[in-house]
Amino acid sequence: MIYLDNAATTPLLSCPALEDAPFFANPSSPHTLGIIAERAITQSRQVLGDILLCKPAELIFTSGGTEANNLAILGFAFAHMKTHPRPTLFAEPWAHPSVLAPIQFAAEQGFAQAVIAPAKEWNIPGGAALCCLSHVHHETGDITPIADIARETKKINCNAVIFTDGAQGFCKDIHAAQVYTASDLYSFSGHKCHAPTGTGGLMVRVGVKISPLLHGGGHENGLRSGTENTAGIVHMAHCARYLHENATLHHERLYYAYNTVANLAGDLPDVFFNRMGSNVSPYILNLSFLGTKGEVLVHMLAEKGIMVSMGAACKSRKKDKSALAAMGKSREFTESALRISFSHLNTQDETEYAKEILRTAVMQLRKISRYI
Amino acid sequence: MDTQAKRIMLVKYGEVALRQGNRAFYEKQIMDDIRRRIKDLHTGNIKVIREQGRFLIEDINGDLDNELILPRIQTIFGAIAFCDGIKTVARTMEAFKSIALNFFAPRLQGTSFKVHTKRADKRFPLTSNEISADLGEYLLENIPDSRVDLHNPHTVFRVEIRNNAYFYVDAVAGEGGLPYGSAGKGVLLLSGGIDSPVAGYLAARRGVGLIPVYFHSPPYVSERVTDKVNDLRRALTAYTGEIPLHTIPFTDVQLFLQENVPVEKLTIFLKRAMLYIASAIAAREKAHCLITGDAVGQVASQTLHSIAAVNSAAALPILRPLTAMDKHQIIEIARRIQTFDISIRPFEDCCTLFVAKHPENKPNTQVIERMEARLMEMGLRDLLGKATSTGDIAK
Repeated sequence: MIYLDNAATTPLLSCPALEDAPFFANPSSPHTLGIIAERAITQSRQVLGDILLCKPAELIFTSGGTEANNLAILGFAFAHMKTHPRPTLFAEPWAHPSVLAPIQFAAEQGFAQAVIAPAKEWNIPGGAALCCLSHVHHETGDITPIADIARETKKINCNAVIFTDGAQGFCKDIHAAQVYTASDLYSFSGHKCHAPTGTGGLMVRVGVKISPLLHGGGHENGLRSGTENTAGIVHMAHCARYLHENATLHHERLYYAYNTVANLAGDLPDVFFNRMGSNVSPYILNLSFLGTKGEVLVHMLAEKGIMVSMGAACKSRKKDKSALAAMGKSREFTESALRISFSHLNTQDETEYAKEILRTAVMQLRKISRYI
Repeated sequence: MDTQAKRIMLVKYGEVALRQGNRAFYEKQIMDDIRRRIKDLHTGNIKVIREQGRFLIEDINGDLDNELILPRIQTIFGAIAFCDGIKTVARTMEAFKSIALNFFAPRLQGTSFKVHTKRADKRFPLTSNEISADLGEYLLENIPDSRVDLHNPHTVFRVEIRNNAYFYVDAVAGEGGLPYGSAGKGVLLLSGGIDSPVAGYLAARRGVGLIPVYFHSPPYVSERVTDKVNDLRRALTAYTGEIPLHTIPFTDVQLFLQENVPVEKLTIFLKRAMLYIASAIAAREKAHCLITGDAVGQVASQTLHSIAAVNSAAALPILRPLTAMDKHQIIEIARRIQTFDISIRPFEDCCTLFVAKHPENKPNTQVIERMEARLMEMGLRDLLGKATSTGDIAK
C-alpha cells in the first residue's frame, strides 16, 4: 500500500514517552498521577512553544484544526461583537471550510461582518478586524506570503489581527518561522503531523482578545474548558518536534517525490498544475488530467494500492463548490483534479511506482472516455 | 377510571377483505407479519386476534403500549389503518359514558365529531342510533369546545358492541396494498439513484417480494456506492423485512461494450446486458418478473423507442411502476420512504463516465438486436454468464 493522501491525514508515528508512562490521570487531580500528567502537558506546551516561537502560555490545546479555527474566528467575533462597528472577518474564497463556515455563521447571526475576497482586495477598516489566511493551501499546496500580507495590513490598521490556518503548514515549511511570528493567531492540527486525530491547538498571542466557545472548568486559561487530552498532547508534541528537527532532511526527500510525480505533466498531454503561484509546498501536488474524472482515477489507483484524493478529503463527499472552483478553475479542471500529498515516509520506489500506475490509469481512462 | 377498560389497537385492512377466495390466506400473512415484527417487544403477553374483518392487538396483562407497537407495524403492506382503542366488558351506558370521556376527551376537544355505533350484539337494550345519540350528547356537554357534525366530522368516534364493547377513533393511516410477498417474487434492478428504490417499494406494496440486484463496476465506481445501495436496500427492509442484495461484477461487460459499441448506443446495450443478467437471476431465484425504475421520457434511455429496444433482452415481464410518474411525484415518495437522502449522496457513477453526451433516443430495435447477436458471438455471452455466476449475495 502506498499512501499519498497525507494532506487528509497522516500515518501515526509511535511515541516512546507514552509507552513508559500511561497518562490517563486527570491533570487537574491533586495526587501524584495527576501531577505527572500535568507536568507532561507543561513540557509538551514548552516544546510546541519553542517551535511556534511563542510563550507556552499562549498555546490553547483543542480537539483539532477545525475546533482551533472555530475558536479563533467565533472567539474573536464574540469578544468584539459589542463594539461599533461590529468586527469584520476577512477570508479568501478558497479557504478551508472550517474557516469559511464559522465566518458565514457569525455573519448570518449578526455577530460580525464577513468579507470573502482575495487578500489583495481586502479593504481593512479601522475597527476590530480579523484577517484569516491559510499557511499552506489544503488543495493546491500554495504557500501564502503571510509575513508580507501581515506587514501591509498592520500598516493600514495596527490593531488588525492576523489569523493563520496552519493545518497543512505547521512543521511542514522550512521557512515557517516568519509565518509563526507574523501571526497573532495560529491554528494547528496533530493528525496532519503523524499524531492521533483529536489533537490540535491554537496559538493566541498575548493581547489578542478572544472568547471561549466551550465553558466549564476553565482549562487552558479559561479559553477551552474540558479535561486535557494528555496522551494526545504528548504524542503531538513528540511528532511536531520530530518533524521540526528533521525538516531540512525531509524536504529533500519530499521535493524528490513531488518532482517525480509532477513530471507527468511533461510526459502526458493535457496535464496541468493547479496552483496559484510558484511558491508551493512539496507536501501537496494538485494536477488536472483533462479527459478523466478525479474520482474514477482515485478508485483505479486504490485498486492498485495507491491512496490519493480528489480535492480536500473532508469535502470530497459533497458536491460543494470546491476551492479550485473558487480559484476560477473551470469544471473540466476541477472534475479531473487529483491531489497527491506526500510525507517524509514516502520512498523513491513508492513515488516512482505510483507515477507509472497513474500514467497507465490516465491513459486507460482517456481511452474509455474517448478523449483525443 | 373504569378498571374494566383497557387500551388495545385495531388494525384495519382494506383490499384484502374483498378477496373472497384468498382472504384467509392474505389475512394470515398480515397477522404473521404483525406477530413477527413485535416478537421481541413482549414475552407472550401480547396477542394478535382476527376479529370481524380486522385485527385486534391486546396485552393480556392490561393496557397495550400503542406508541411502542405502532412504529413497528405501521409499514406493513395490506393494513390501511391503525386505531387507538378501548376494550371493555362493561355493558351499561353509564360505564360507556365514563370510558368515552376518560379516554377520548383530549382527542375530541376543540374539534367536530360524530358518534357511530355498530351493535352486533342485538341483546343490548338500546339501538345503534340511540346509543350514538345518548353518548354524543353526553360528550358534547362534558368536553369543552367540541361540536357535533354529522355530515363532515373531523373525528368519528366509533362504538362497537359485540361480546365486548370497543371504542376507537380513526387514527394513523397504513400503507394499504397487498401483503408483502403474496404476489410472488421479482428481481429489482437497484441502482444508487432516486427512482429504483421507489419502484421497488411500489411493487412490494402490491405484494411482490423483492430480490434486489446491483451492478457494480469497480474501480470505475466507488466502493461507497455499494454501501449506498446497501443502505437503500436496508431502507426498504422497513417494509419488506430482510432482503439480501445481489451484487453483480459488471466491469468486464462494461469495458467490452465500451470497446465494441458506438458510444451513442452504449446505454441501450448496457441496459440489455443488465436485463439478461437479471433474467438469469430471476430464473435461479424462481422470480416472476423484473422491476425497474424507468419513467417514460425521463432520459434518453427511457423514451418509448429505448424501452422498446431493451425489452426483448428480458426473459420475464418488466414491471415499471414509475412509468407514468413525474419526477417530483417520485421524489415525494422517495422522501416518505426515507430513501431520498441516501439516493442523493453524490458519487461518480458509471453513467457519467461511459455515456455519450448525446445518446441516441430513438434506437431501432432490429438494428440493436442484430448488433447484439454479433457481440454475443464475440464473447459477450460468456461475460454475461460469468457475471451472473460470480455475483455476491449479502445481507
